[in-house]
Amino acid sequence: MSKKTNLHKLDELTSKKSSGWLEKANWRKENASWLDISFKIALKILRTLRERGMTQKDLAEKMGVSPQYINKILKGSENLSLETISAFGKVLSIDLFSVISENHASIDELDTIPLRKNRGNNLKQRQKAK
Amino acid sequence: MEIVPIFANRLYAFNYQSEGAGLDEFERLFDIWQDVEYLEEFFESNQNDLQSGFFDPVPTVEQAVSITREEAKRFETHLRRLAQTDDQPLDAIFKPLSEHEDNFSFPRHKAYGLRYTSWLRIYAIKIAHRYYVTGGAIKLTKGMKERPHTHDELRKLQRCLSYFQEQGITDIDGARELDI
Repeated sequence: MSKKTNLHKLDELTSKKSSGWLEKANWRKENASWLDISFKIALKILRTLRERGMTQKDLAEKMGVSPQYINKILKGSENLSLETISAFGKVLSIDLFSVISENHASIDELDTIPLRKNRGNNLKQRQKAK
Repeated sequence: MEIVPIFANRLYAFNYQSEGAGLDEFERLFDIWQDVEYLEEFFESNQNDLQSGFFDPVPTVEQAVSITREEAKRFETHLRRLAQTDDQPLDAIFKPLSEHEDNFSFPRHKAYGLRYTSWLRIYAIKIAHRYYVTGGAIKLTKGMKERPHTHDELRKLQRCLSYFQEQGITDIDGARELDI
């Protein structure tokens, strides 16, 4: 098979339309500050529902909104108003505003070995130590 | 099943649905790795692996969710920068999946997230200088066959290798010659 044929075949198999990833990645970057807050609030609500054995449908009923709306919020990518955050906090009797300043864990807290390039050796040492 | 370009001539991804329905695997991965509902459910279901002792200190579900999303954000930023520079090779990101990749028609590769003991993985097939993303996973165990969701990724790699073969892209020497 010639070089040209191989390359041509690969290109023929490829859609003309690009992935939607880059557009989404740019959007996430531009909206990072409020997305961080929406993420924390969604996580707190999800953990509260799990602890209490509640479903998203239960929450929707208590809030008087559709389960689809609740699901959208619990994905962590909705721009929430102060009024919406207050309403969730009231229904669940939790302080969602204090969650905004909480830090669950930084990346560095989880892994104390900083040198990415020595990954293989350090992992072997860890496994040996166990 | 179709292939979509991510960065022209360097990175591509499979979409397993036909005619543009659904998302390609690369787009899907960065969506779910930043989706709180998905991550909370995933780590809740895989708590035993999280607490197996490999990760030290053992993260809680909340920490695992936050760390994953933070790491996905950084990884995405890193890849956005690469996307903006035409001449950046991807060989620094992707590594061979095993020591036995010569046994496959095209070598299978994996990319790690940026954290030291990252559990994020992107899987791809390398043809010449191009990487074709077949999927990815949050990998909490040593072997890919140990859990259904990572085992599925091995199957997807094989499915894509078979797809290339069916399409007549079989000549590894010819493909390597493209890498010029």
